[in-house]
Amino acid sequence: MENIKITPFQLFVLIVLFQLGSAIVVAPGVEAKQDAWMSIMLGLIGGLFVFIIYYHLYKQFPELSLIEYLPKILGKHLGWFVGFLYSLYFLYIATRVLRDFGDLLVTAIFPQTPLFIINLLMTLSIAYVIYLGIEVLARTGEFYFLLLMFIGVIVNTLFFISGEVETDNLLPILGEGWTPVIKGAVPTLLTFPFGEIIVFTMVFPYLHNQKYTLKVGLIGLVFSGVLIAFATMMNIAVLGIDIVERSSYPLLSAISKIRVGDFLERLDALAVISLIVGMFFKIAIFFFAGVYGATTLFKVNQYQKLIMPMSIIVLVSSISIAENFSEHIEIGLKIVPNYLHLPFQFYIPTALLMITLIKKKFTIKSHS
Amino acid sequence: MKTTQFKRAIPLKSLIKRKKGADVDTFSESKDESGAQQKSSIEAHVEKMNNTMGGTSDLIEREIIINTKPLIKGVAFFINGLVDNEQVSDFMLKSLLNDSFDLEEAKEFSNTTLEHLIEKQLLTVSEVKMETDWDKIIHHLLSGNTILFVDGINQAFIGSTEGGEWRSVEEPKAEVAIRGAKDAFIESVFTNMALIRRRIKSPKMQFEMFQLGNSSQTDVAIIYMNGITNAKLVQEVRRRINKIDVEHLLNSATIEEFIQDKTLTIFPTVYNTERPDTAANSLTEGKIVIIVDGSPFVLIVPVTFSQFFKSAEDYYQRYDISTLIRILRYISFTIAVLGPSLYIALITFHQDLIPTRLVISLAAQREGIPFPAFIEALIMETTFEILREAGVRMPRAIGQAVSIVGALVIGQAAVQAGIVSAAMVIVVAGTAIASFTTPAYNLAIAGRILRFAMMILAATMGLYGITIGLIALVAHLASLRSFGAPYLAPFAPFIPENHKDGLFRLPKKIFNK
Amino acid sequence: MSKRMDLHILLIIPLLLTSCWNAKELTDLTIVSAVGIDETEEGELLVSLQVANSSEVAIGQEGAGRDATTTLVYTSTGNTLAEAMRNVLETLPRQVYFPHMTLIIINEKFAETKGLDRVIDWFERDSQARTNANVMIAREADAREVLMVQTPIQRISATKLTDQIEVIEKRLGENMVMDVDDVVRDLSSGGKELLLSGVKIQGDNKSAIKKETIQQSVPDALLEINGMGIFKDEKLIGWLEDEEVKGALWVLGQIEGAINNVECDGKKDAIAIETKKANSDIRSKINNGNPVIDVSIGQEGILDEINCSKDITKHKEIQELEKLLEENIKKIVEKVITKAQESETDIFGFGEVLHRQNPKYWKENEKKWPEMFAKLEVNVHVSSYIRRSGMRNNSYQNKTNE
Repeated sequence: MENIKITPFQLFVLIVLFQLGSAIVVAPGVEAKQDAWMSIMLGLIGGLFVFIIYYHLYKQFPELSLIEYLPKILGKHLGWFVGFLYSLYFLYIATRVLRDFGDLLVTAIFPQTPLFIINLLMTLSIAYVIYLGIEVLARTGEFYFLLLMFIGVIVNTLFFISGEVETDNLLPILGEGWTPVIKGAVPTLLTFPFGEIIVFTMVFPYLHNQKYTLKVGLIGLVFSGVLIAFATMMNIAVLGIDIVERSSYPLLSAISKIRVGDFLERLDALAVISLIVGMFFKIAIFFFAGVYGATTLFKVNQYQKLIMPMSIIVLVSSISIAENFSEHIEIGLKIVPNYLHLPFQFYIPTALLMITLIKKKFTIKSHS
Repeated sequence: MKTTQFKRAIPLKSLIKRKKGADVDTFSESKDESGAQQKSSIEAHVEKMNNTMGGTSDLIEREIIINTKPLIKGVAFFINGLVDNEQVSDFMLKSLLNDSFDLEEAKEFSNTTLEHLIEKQLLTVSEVKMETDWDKIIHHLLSGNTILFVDGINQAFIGSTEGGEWRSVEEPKAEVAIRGAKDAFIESVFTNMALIRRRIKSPKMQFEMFQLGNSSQTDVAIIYMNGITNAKLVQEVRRRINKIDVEHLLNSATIEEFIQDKTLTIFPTVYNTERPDTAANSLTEGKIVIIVDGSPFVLIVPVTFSQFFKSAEDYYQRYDISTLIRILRYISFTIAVLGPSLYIALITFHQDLIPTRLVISLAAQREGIPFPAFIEALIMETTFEILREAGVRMPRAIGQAVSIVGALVIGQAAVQAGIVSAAMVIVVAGTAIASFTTPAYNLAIAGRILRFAMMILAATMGLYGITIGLIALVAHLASLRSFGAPYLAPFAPFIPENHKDGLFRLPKKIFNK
Repeated sequence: MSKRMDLHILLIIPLLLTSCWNAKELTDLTIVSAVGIDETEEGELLVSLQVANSSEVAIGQEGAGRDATTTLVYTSTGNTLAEAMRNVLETLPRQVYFPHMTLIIINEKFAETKGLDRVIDWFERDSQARTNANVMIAREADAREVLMVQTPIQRISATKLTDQIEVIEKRLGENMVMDVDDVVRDLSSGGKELLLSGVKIQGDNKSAIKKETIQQSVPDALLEINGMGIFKDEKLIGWLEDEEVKGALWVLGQIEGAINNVECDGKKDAIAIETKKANSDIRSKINNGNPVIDVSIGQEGILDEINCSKDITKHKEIQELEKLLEENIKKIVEKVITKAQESETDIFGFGEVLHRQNPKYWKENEKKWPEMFAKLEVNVHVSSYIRRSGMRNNSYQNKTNE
């Protein structure tokens, strides 16, 4: 682990940036219409539970990352194989988020620029920061966390000042009953963004002070969950549920409505900046987890050596992963949650925890 | 009077370390025989001295006859211009020549040897040393001391007569403060040490001297506060300074280059100041000050990014005003780095983000401008950099002419000829003014380089390019360390208590808690 | 390390070449300020783009002359809006640029016969167009003709109209700003119908398209924002005129300033009261299976003009005035509610209120809402307060002091 250490606050910041990353622009949970925020809160509660599972697993091996302790639970070969799958999973999700990001930029800002160029620039900067190390990523995170919070406060104040917020748009509450709320929360919201916190099992061993991990993790999740719910509420209050439901990027549309006096208008840039920053951290953390996992699996002495090849793989596959945006989204909504997120975020970790607990009991019994 | 009371034991590692060069060879050859030569006769010393110095014309050789009973022959050597002539004549020569002194009587009285008598009784100069090591003798001679050989004594007397012409302590030129102290460091290491010592009258403050530069033998002092400065940090500074291997050390900038943590960065990781109050303040904060003889700028390590936005003035004005001004400096630096690039990004990529009336006015201005906005900005910025460089290097009288020509050419003619738009002139001028607010010149230069990099990013990818550039920039800053201290502290890592004097300057009462 | 650096540099080089893709110099753009939509006789869309002639608009620029009109109108046709927008490039010298478009004007006849559905989606979907552009209907004229009129002072008629409607909304209360988002929201809502302001050309529109028109103290033609069109679903079915619009806006809570006249001493319209602040609260309840709507309007205002001898220093007199005003407003409001009920168009959004407050009932009756609206029981309550009386108290016409 060298002497790289992440402070509790940095962990908090990374979790928040990671969670907000893409969730804040796409307004998750709109299946529940006006009650999207309730869906999000439900998803958050689920997210807290899975985080506790990850934490208990990690407590068994406080110095190790997920991929490092997998062989200890499942045996050498099976553990290696599952670790390999995890590594692929992280890289695949990094690729998907990169694609999301590139598509957004092409749609909203750079209609004539090839996706490749946009993703290339992002990949380069991520490769550079990961090359500098997770500690640098965490510190950069602190800086941009402050910036994002600042932007958030400004944007929300402006929403109110410009008089665009129509709280009526949030009514009726539970107009359709609980069914759509729960449908929105499980599995989509549970897995995205909250369940994705599985990636932090790769970051835990770098923590400076292990005893705060659980507390900081839970606070971070709650904080980001509340922010996402609030942002979604604001989007709906400003745009109305009908438009939110139909727009690809509600936050962008909502911010473009701000108009205070004759000069404070056209603030889309703020949304775009938050988006780029958030996406950057999300992809970077997944990418780090993937690269670091591969380093462990293939016993490479320095993870920096893998950055170049891995970033090329991620870049190229982010382009070839889907033919068009619709296909990409369809995979993201239908296949990924059920066949990737659920197994990797819930089934495997739960099984792992059960195995370790049984093993522990067994060894304690045999000792006594 | 030169203050010499600070002189402590001199680590001689660097002196002994020398390996090459003709001069060096004579020294080491002579070393073994030096004792014998000195014993034999005073002529040997004189000859040796003249051989070593190669008969340079600024070496003054003064033969004297010491006015004792019996009379003793002596020879004094000093370098013309390096010594304080009054001291040499009053306290070295006068005392030897004029005061009549009965040796036998003195011997009876105190029962000591001749050399002790000369040292203790005859030489009235403030500090006298006895030395046999030829290297050190030469070093002292070249530092402005007077060397005295006395017949029959196989040691050299070294009287501290350093002096000669130094610039006097003047007002700071680069770091002006309206209400602050008006003294600035000069080129003499000892004067500079005294300027700091006068501000901190604490026995905790320690000076350590080094001689660096194989042939220049420059005096370098590191200053720290015992018990306040981290001992490991002092150790690290010592280690890095001892590692320096150069032939000539003429300026603190050379040291800076050698001791900084990472060379592949445009950001300064060592702070320099010409203000003794700033240096003293840094010492009390547990930092280490490095003074180099011949340089009116002292170095301070470790340093954080925020240090470069602090000015001595901040501590002399009310805290609220200082805080606001400090925030203004951060904003100005941001403008200085991002001004033209944001303009380029907006005007070539994101015209939709500009208010309608403004965009129409800008479009009208750009009607007929032959260059794309990026090229236009590049031309203007480069012209401005050339003008600035011309203005800085020119003698003051011509400098004014430069600025008049610049203002006319850039401000008037270029716009009237339709080569650049008026808006671009405003942007460039605003950026230039903003860049002058950064108190630290070396950071301002970094800002200028970054401005061009950001302009390229903006011209290729608009706001996206700028944002990505900024992320990489912050990551780069976060990866920097200055003597182990994270460069971006107290922002990243976030250290709440250090914010008392980071972005803000809180009242002293809170400060000292 | 050095090898890796080489690779990085190789990757960075293409980045520097990207500038040709999305960079667009200001001088390569024609800034569209408004879009007009008419229909050709063949049933194609006739799109008119009002383009700002920037060097004419920007006064005080060097080289800016007064030798051309400030706005130009280009037209083209197409079967879809997107097609027409591309076809316009055949006549335009530069790339069209939509983000600064602030106004969409739709032909009255087109709105009546074909409806809006064919022309709204593009404005919402296109990444260049901004959804806060105002939407208006050209009354008794083609949209193209409206866009061609040259306007003094505000030299781009699109900005003139958008500024004007904002002022009207704030001070007069006879029109309401409706942008693309609002239009979409109302079109897609089952419980609220759309209202759009109309624009009329006042005067001779043939000579008003020349730049000479604005060199006169009375231009040949002026653009007037007048009335609001009622839409049933997507089609225009009628108009609300000044007083009626005001009534509708009282209900919608959109009044920010308005003048109401009340009688005094038997003199009609002798006292004018300016509204400074107003709000409305709409509540729904179900009475015996039938929905009932309660509209409570609150109003605060000042006395603006008194042409009678009323002694307004007395609190009682003021209260009387308040009562008169309440009745006045109530009358206006009830009149427009009746008018809306006659045409079965719920322009007040009572259906949405029902949806919010009684979601279950709404779900059952959503389909037959227009008919239910026609028979809806609506109770209007107005409470007025007159806070101040301007720089004088009693009018000089008041004789009580003598």
